[in-house]
Amino acid sequence: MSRATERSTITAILKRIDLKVRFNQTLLHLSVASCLVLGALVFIELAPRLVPLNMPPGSVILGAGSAAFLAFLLWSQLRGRQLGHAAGVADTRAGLNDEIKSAYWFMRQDNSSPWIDLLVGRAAATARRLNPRNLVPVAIPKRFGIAFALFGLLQVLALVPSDGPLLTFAVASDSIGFERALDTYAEEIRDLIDGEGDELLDEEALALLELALEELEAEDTSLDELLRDLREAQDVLDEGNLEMAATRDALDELGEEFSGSNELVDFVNALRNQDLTDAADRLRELAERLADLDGIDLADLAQLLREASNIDEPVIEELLEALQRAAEAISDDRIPDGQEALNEAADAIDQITDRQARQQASNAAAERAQALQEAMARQPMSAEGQTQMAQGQSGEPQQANGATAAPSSAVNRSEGEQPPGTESGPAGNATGDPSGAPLELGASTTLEAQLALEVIDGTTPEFPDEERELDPEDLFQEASRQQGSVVQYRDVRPPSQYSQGSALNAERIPWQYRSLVKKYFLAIRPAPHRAPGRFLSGQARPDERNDDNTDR
Amino acid sequence: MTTTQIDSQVGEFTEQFQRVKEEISKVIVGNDEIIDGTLISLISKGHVLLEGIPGIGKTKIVATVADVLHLTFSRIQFTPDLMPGDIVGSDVVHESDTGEKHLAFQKGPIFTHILLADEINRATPKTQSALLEAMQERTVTVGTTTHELQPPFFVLATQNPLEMEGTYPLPEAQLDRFFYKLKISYPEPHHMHEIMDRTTRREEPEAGMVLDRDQILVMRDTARSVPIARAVQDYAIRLTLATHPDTPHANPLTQQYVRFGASPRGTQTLVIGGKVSALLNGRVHVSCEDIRAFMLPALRHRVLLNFEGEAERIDTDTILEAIMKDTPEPSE
Repeated sequence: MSRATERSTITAILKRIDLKVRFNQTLLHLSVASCLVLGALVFIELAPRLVPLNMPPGSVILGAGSAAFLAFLLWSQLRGRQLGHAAGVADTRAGLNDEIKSAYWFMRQDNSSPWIDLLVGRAAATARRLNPRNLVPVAIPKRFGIAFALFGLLQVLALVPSDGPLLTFAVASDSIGFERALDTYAEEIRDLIDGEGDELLDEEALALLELALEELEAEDTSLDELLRDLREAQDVLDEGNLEMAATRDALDELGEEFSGSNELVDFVNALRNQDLTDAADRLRELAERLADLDGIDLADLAQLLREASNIDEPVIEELLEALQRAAEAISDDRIPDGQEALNEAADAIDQITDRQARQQASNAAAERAQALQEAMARQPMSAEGQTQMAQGQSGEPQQANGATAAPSSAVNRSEGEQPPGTESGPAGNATGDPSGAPLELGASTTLEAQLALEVIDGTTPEFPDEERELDPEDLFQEASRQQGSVVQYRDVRPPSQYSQGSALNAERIPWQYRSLVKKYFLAIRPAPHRAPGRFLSGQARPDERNDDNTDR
Repeated sequence: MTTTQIDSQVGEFTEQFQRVKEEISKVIVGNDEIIDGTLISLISKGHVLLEGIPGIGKTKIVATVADVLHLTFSRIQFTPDLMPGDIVGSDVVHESDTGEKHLAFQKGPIFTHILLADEINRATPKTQSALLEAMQERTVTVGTTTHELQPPFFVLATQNPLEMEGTYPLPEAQLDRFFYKLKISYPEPHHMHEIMDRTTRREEPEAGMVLDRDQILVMRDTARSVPIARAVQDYAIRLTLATHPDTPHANPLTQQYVRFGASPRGTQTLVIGGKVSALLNGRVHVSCEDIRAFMLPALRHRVLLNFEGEAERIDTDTILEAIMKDTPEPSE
């Protein structure tokens, strides 16, 4: 056999071995790539279920992995044949003690000597005996098993719905919760506005809610501004609560006045059950039956109506006036006029019913606004929010006269009037108050309630409306800018704490308990502070006097 | 020379080697590694240093090797008072028949083919160094005259372990001239039986001569003709470099315990010994296995331990085995 034949024999065998080695290497690389890509897909599918993480879409991972593998495959194929490596593989697999490797190296050197020819000749004879298929069998990498397992896991994960991350990082979970809360509350407010809001809600409240909704959807406002708008909307929505509670109390008192009448027993029961629609119907029935009553009954009825109309409840003034007219008509034996007056009284009750329905709708909206504020207040202040707030403080002061202004959500009062458990604002004296009394920064439910009470009582605010809208935080900052603050540097808190505190302290009392709170404050209010507008006589009711005495 | 002739030459080489081994085995029991190493050193133009405690057959092995080879043989018993002149010879006064006196060079026992330097480390370093020139250049210089030694010149030195009293360590330069350092250990129990059977009879076994000088020289040429691929040679170089603590190839044990690594002469030893090993296995190429086969006797005396290695009594074989384990074979 010639030298050329021997060398070509070796080369041919090495090429076949190289092909098989490459195929196995490609399988190996494919298995590794599959494991990596599937592992990454499982990770991005599984991780958000465990922890709140934002992951790229799986198609990106799949595409990038496939592209990288194809590029690597192309590069590995373009490198050219590795016959030297194939020779090494053949020697190792067949236990040839570097025979093929040595022969191939001398072949490449193109040197010729009897010894080298003998070596090549022996190597060619050995190579002829080699079976590349047996020497380098197709090896399915075990990693394919892992890849299949990962694929199965991926399929299982695709079938299992996700309910959000099981584990939460504090900030991340708050952030996600915050975003979800924003979406949820925005949707609720939108439903409220688009649904029954047009009919039931106050126009001002509607406008504020729509403004808050726009800010929520636009996402171009700071947390502070959003909180402020929501709080204003909530204030407006809550305004009618005390009036509603007072109306309910007045109707209860009215019912007590009628409690001795046989003719009005159904009406009284309806009032006790707070079924005002039924009460109005009973009153209309009484008007129809009025002509059938005898004189004695009419006289008793007139007397009851007269006594009842004298109770001091301005919130049901129309009703009381109608009852007064009915009493006078019945006394004068003008039955048709009495019937008309009773029907007017029933209409007045219907109006009260409408007002209560509107207030209930407002309360529902206020409750949602409050929940949204609390959700927002739990979030860390974003950099954007801080920046915008800082700009607002340094750029455009919102109050005109810091020395005479008082906030709508904060009133001046002595320390003794502060209810226990009420959170106060940051320590220090408010410089906006000329009297030098301490200014409570941050909203307080009790203060809000007291202020609202004064409005109901007819107390004229001591400040213009535009000043009342100022936030205590703004007052505090403005006072500092005017260098009138005496707050110690240790007591100065970051602005974020003020806004969070404002949000957290805003109206924590559920609306259904506000009546009770109002009664409490009515009971403890000192007599000289009572405004004459509400209690026309200027005197407290007997039960209030008892409460006052008890408290004292 | 044709490939067929080379093929037959390789076969003859293997056959002659086996015949020598078989003849030696008539006298020496076991110690195959020692016999192989000794013969490979002889064929590789090297010298052998045999180390072992007294009484385990070092001298017997050397004497038997000399017996089976049709070569001249001398023995020098190294003692502390042995002088260089006692080895290489000296100029002595000769008186001619006419009564004229002149100086004539009296050859020492070194002028032989096989020299048994028995207990070489009992002589002083000065005397030990008398062998330096002879072992490397195969010449002896006395005064101003250089005398050539007839090939093959083969030194078989024995030494007792250095811990024994009255021994002088061989200088590094002297050690480096030994092709292999072979360690003889106690024979196995079943070998001891065989030794007793052979040596306690009235007639002791004798080895006959099976190889003459010319055959040895041909075997030497054959061995050096074996080709070695660059990758395998690179493997031998990497193994040697791994014994150097300051090279990137250094093994962690090397870095910790070695002061100086093996010299290029060590790599030569690996390659030439590998060639003989290849022939003995019927191959005409050197494999990595051939390089590893006699790496321990080739490099163990060329690796010098540092203080830490000496203090912890680290055996250089341990370091070399770690190097063999950690140095990968070439993939192509």
